[in-house]
Amino acid sequence: MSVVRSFPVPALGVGRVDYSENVEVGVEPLIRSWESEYRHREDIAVAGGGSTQVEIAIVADTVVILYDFFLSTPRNVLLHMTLEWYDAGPPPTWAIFAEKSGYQNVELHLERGVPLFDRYRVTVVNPSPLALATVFSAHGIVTAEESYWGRYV
Amino acid sequence: MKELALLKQTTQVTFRQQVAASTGVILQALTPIKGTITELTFHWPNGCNSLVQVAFKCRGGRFPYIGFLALNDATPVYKVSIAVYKWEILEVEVLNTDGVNPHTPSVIVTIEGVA
Repeated sequence: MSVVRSFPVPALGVGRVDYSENVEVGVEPLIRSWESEYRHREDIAVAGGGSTQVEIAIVADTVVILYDFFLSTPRNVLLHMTLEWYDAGPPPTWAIFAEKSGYQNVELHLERGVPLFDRYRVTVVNPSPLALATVFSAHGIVTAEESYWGRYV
Repeated sequence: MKELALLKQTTQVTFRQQVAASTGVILQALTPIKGTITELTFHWPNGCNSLVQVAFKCRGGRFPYIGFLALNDATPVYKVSIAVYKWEILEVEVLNTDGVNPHTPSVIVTIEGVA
Protein backbone atom coordinates (compact mmCIF):
# COMPACT_ATOMS: atom_id res chain seq x y z
CA MET A 1 0.00 0.00 0.00
CA SER A 2 1.29 3.43 -0.81
CA VAL A 3 0.00 6.95 -0.46
CA VAL A 4 -0.18 8.37 -3.95
CA ARG A 5 -1.68 11.75 -3.12
CA SER A 6 -2.40 13.84 -0.07
CA PHE A 7 -4.53 16.96 -0.15
CA PRO A 8 -6.35 19.30 2.25
CA VAL A 9 -10.06 18.86 2.93
CA PRO A 10 -12.40 21.24 4.79
CA ALA A 11 -13.05 20.38 8.43
CA LEU A 12 -16.65 19.39 9.14
CA GLY A 13 -16.33 18.97 12.90
CA VAL A 14 -14.21 17.63 15.71
CA GLY A 15 -14.12 13.99 16.71
CA ARG A 16 -12.09 12.36 19.44
CA VAL A 17 -8.62 10.90 19.45
CA ASP A 18 -9.19 7.38 18.23
CA TYR A 19 -7.70 4.41 20.02
CA SER A 20 -5.96 3.28 16.86
CA GLU A 21 -3.38 6.00 17.44
CA ASN A 22 -1.79 3.78 20.04
CA VAL A 23 -2.00 0.40 18.36
CA GLU A 24 1.08 -1.26 16.95
CA VAL A 25 0.92 -1.71 13.21
CA GLY A 26 1.81 -5.29 12.45
CA VAL A 27 5.43 -5.80 13.30
CA GLU A 28 6.82 -2.40 12.43
CA PRO A 29 8.39 -0.78 15.43
CA LEU A 30 6.48 2.43 16.05
CA ILE A 31 8.53 4.95 17.92
CA ARG A 32 6.32 6.51 20.58
CA SER A 33 6.93 9.83 22.25
CA TRP A 34 8.76 8.27 25.18
CA GLU A 35 11.04 6.20 22.99
CA SER A 36 13.97 7.07 20.77
CA GLU A 37 15.74 5.44 17.91
CA TYR A 38 18.73 3.28 18.79
CA ARG A 39 21.65 2.78 16.45
CA HIS A 40 24.91 1.15 17.27
CA ARG A 41 27.89 0.73 14.98
CA GLU A 42 30.96 -1.26 15.80
CA ASP A 43 34.06 -1.91 13.73
CA ILE A 44 35.13 -5.48 14.35
CA ALA A 45 38.45 -6.82 13.07
CA VAL A 46 38.57 -10.58 12.63
CA ALA A 47 41.75 -12.53 11.99
CA GLY A 48 41.81 -15.12 9.19
CA GLY A 49 40.18 -18.36 10.32
CA GLY A 50 39.32 -16.81 13.65
CA SER A 51 36.48 -15.16 15.47
CA THR A 52 35.99 -11.98 17.45
CA GLN A 53 33.53 -11.36 20.23
CA VAL A 54 32.42 -7.86 21.11
CA GLU A 55 30.28 -6.96 24.10
CA ILE A 56 27.97 -4.00 23.75
CA ALA A 57 26.69 -2.43 26.93
CA ILE A 58 23.27 -0.89 27.34
CA VAL A 59 22.84 2.24 29.43
CA ALA A 60 21.49 1.44 32.92
CA ASP A 61 17.72 1.75 33.45
CA THR A 62 17.00 1.65 29.75
CA VAL A 63 15.74 -1.10 27.52
CA VAL A 64 16.85 -1.48 23.95
CA ILE A 65 14.56 -3.35 21.60
CA LEU A 66 16.54 -4.44 18.58
CA TYR A 67 15.01 -5.30 15.22
CA ASP A 68 17.73 -5.10 12.59
CA PHE A 69 21.30 -6.28 12.52
CA PHE A 70 23.81 -5.80 9.75
CA LEU A 71 27.29 -7.14 9.32
CA SER A 72 29.43 -6.43 6.29
CA THR A 73 32.98 -6.63 5.05
CA PRO A 74 34.58 -5.42 1.81
CA ARG A 75 35.50 -8.99 0.75
CA ASN A 76 33.22 -11.59 -0.77
CA VAL A 77 33.79 -14.17 1.94
CA LEU A 78 31.62 -16.13 4.30
CA LEU A 79 30.74 -14.43 7.57
CA HIS A 80 28.91 -15.86 10.51
CA MET A 81 27.24 -13.64 13.06
CA THR A 82 26.01 -14.87 16.43
CA LEU A 83 24.06 -12.62 18.77
CA GLU A 84 23.71 -13.35 22.45
CA TRP A 85 22.03 -11.63 25.36
CA TYR A 86 23.24 -11.54 28.90
CA ASP A 87 21.25 -12.91 31.78
CA ALA A 88 22.61 -11.67 35.10
CA GLY A 89 21.32 -14.86 36.69
CA PRO A 90 22.37 -16.29 39.02
CA PRO A 91 24.22 -17.92 37.48
CA PRO A 92 25.15 -15.29 34.87
CA THR A 93 24.72 -16.78 31.42
CA TRP A 94 24.82 -15.81 27.79
CA ALA A 95 22.08 -17.13 25.55
CA ILE A 96 22.01 -17.03 21.77
CA PHE A 97 18.98 -15.21 20.42
CA ALA A 98 19.89 -15.11 16.75
CA GLU A 99 22.53 -16.17 14.31
CA LYS A 100 22.98 -15.93 10.61
CA SER A 101 25.60 -16.53 7.93
CA GLY A 102 26.16 -14.91 4.60
CA TYR A 103 28.71 -13.88 2.05
CA GLN A 104 30.04 -10.37 2.53
CA ASN A 105 26.78 -8.99 3.95
CA VAL A 106 24.70 -10.50 6.70
CA GLU A 107 21.33 -8.89 7.29
CA LEU A 108 19.08 -10.09 10.04
CA HIS A 109 15.62 -8.72 10.76
CA LEU A 110 13.77 -9.88 13.83
CA GLU A 111 10.12 -9.05 13.31
CA ARG A 112 9.10 -9.03 16.94
CA GLY A 113 12.24 -7.32 18.21
CA VAL A 114 14.45 -8.47 21.05
CA PRO A 115 14.32 -6.52 24.32
CA LEU A 116 17.75 -6.23 25.89
CA PHE A 117 18.33 -4.90 29.38
CA ASP A 118 21.95 -5.23 30.33
CA ARG A 119 24.25 -5.96 27.43
CA TYR A 120 24.50 -8.10 24.37
CA ARG A 121 27.38 -9.47 22.42
CA VAL A 122 28.12 -10.25 18.84
CA THR A 123 30.49 -12.95 17.69
CA VAL A 124 31.82 -12.73 14.16
CA VAL A 125 33.35 -15.90 12.74
CA ASN A 126 35.59 -15.62 9.71
CA PRO A 127 36.28 -19.06 8.17
CA SER A 128 38.39 -17.55 5.37
CA PRO A 129 42.19 -17.21 5.65
CA LEU A 130 41.93 -13.43 5.09
CA ALA A 131 42.02 -10.94 7.93
CA LEU A 132 38.79 -8.95 7.73
CA ALA A 133 37.63 -5.55 8.85
CA THR A 134 33.92 -5.92 9.43
CA VAL A 135 31.29 -3.40 10.36
CA PHE A 136 28.46 -4.42 12.63
CA SER A 137 25.43 -2.26 13.19
CA ALA A 138 22.25 -2.75 15.15
CA HIS A 139 19.05 -0.76 14.84
CA GLY A 140 16.08 -0.55 17.16
CA ILE A 141 14.40 1.59 19.76
CA VAL A 142 15.43 2.59 23.24
CA THR A 143 13.11 3.38 26.11
CA ALA A 144 13.25 3.80 29.87
CA GLU A 145 12.84 0.59 31.84
CA GLU A 146 9.81 1.99 33.68
CA SER A 147 7.95 2.68 30.49
CA TYR A 148 8.92 -0.71 29.05
CA TRP A 149 7.26 -2.48 31.95
CA GLY A 150 4.39 -0.02 32.01
CA ARG A 151 5.25 1.26 35.45
CA TYR A 152 4.89 5.01 35.27
CA VAL A 153 6.69 5.82 38.50
CA MET B 1 -2.69 -32.37 -5.59
CA LYS B 2 -5.05 -32.00 -8.54
CA GLU B 3 -7.95 -31.35 -6.17
CA LEU B 4 -5.89 -28.75 -4.32
CA ALA B 5 -5.08 -26.95 -7.54
CA LEU B 6 -8.78 -26.63 -8.26
CA LEU B 7 -9.46 -24.92 -4.95
CA LYS B 8 -10.04 -21.24 -5.11
CA GLN B 9 -7.33 -19.15 -3.59
CA THR B 10 -8.50 -16.28 -1.43
CA THR B 11 -6.33 -13.37 -0.52
CA GLN B 12 -6.69 -10.05 1.25
CA VAL B 13 -5.30 -6.64 0.44
CA THR B 14 -5.25 -4.29 3.39
CA PHE B 15 -5.16 -0.54 3.58
CA ARG B 16 -4.42 1.21 6.84
CA GLN B 17 -3.16 4.72 7.02
CA GLN B 18 -3.09 7.45 9.61
CA VAL B 19 -4.63 10.51 8.04
CA ALA B 20 -3.86 13.89 9.56
CA ALA B 21 -6.64 16.30 10.53
CA SER B 22 -8.32 18.07 7.59
CA THR B 23 -6.45 15.96 5.09
CA GLY B 24 -7.44 13.62 2.32
CA VAL B 25 -5.27 10.81 1.00
CA ILE B 26 -5.46 8.39 -1.88
CA LEU B 27 -3.96 4.98 -1.16
CA GLN B 28 -3.11 2.46 -3.82
CA ALA B 29 -2.20 -1.22 -3.83
CA LEU B 30 -2.02 -3.90 -6.49
CA THR B 31 -4.12 -7.03 -6.67
CA PRO B 32 -1.85 -10.02 -6.05
CA ILE B 33 -4.09 -12.47 -7.93
CA LYS B 34 -6.68 -12.56 -10.69
CA GLY B 35 -10.19 -13.15 -9.42
CA THR B 36 -13.23 -11.48 -7.95
CA ILE B 37 -13.42 -9.00 -5.14
CA THR B 38 -16.08 -10.58 -2.96
CA GLU B 39 -15.94 -8.56 0.25
CA LEU B 40 -14.98 -5.12 1.39
CA THR B 41 -14.42 -4.65 5.10
CA PHE B 42 -14.18 -1.13 6.43
CA HIS B 43 -13.17 -0.14 9.92
CA TRP B 44 -13.61 3.17 11.65
CA PRO B 45 -12.13 3.36 15.15
CA ASN B 46 -14.14 4.90 17.94
CA GLY B 47 -13.64 8.65 17.82
CA CYS B 48 -14.04 9.10 14.09
CA ASN B 49 -17.57 10.42 14.79
CA SER B 50 -18.61 9.96 11.15
CA LEU B 51 -16.06 12.54 10.08
CA VAL B 52 -13.75 10.15 8.25
CA GLN B 53 -15.06 9.50 4.76
CA VAL B 54 -13.85 6.40 2.96
CA ALA B 55 -14.47 5.08 -0.55
CA PHE B 56 -13.00 2.16 -2.46
CA LYS B 57 -12.26 2.33 -6.18
CA CYS B 58 -10.90 0.03 -8.83
CA ARG B 59 -11.17 -0.38 -12.59
CA GLY B 60 -14.36 -2.41 -12.23
CA GLY B 61 -16.24 0.02 -10.02
CA ARG B 62 -16.48 2.22 -6.99
CA PHE B 63 -17.91 1.50 -3.57
CA PRO B 64 -20.08 3.20 -2.54
CA TYR B 65 -21.32 4.06 -6.01
CA ILE B 66 -21.79 7.73 -5.07
CA GLY B 67 -20.30 9.58 -2.14
CA PHE B 68 -18.43 8.17 0.81
CA LEU B 69 -19.02 6.00 3.84
CA ALA B 70 -18.37 7.57 7.24
CA LEU B 71 -19.17 5.68 10.45
CA ASN B 72 -17.88 5.50 14.00
CA ASP B 73 -16.61 2.47 15.93
CA ALA B 74 -17.87 0.13 13.23
CA THR B 75 -16.53 -2.67 11.06
CA PRO B 76 -19.10 -3.43 8.38
CA VAL B 77 -18.48 -6.08 5.74
CA TYR B 78 -20.04 -5.43 2.34
CA LYS B 79 -20.54 -8.15 -0.23
CA VAL B 80 -19.52 -7.10 -3.72
CA SER B 81 -18.65 -8.82 -6.95
CA ILE B 82 -15.98 -7.05 -8.96
CA ALA B 83 -13.76 -8.94 -11.38
CA VAL B 84 -10.09 -7.99 -11.25
CA TYR B 85 -6.95 -8.99 -13.10
CA LYS B 86 -3.65 -9.60 -11.40
CA TRP B 87 -1.62 -6.43 -10.73
CA GLU B 88 -4.63 -4.20 -11.09
CA ILE B 89 -4.65 -0.97 -9.07
CA LEU B 90 -6.94 -0.83 -6.05
CA GLU B 91 -7.56 2.60 -4.62
CA VAL B 92 -8.91 3.81 -1.30
CA GLU B 93 -9.74 7.45 -0.78
CA VAL B 94 -9.90 8.71 2.79
CA LEU B 95 -11.05 12.21 3.68
CA ASN B 96 -10.48 13.10 7.30
CA THR B 97 -12.81 16.01 7.88
CA ASP B 98 -12.06 16.03 11.60
CA GLY B 99 -10.51 19.45 12.12
CA VAL B 100 -8.36 18.43 15.11
CA ASN B 101 -7.56 14.72 15.34
CA PRO B 102 -5.77 12.34 13.02
CA HIS B 103 -7.59 9.08 12.36
CA THR B 104 -6.60 5.65 11.13
CA PRO B 105 -9.36 3.83 9.29
CA SER B 106 -8.73 0.47 7.61
CA VAL B 107 -10.06 -1.25 4.52
CA ILE B 108 -9.65 -4.96 3.82
CA VAL B 109 -10.32 -6.15 0.30
CA THR B 110 -10.99 -9.88 -0.06
CA ILE B 111 -10.21 -11.33 -3.47
CA GLU B 112 -11.33 -14.81 -4.41
CA GLY B 113 -9.04 -16.19 -7.06
CA VAL B 114 -10.23 -18.00 -10.14
CA ALA B 115 -10.25 -21.76 -9.85
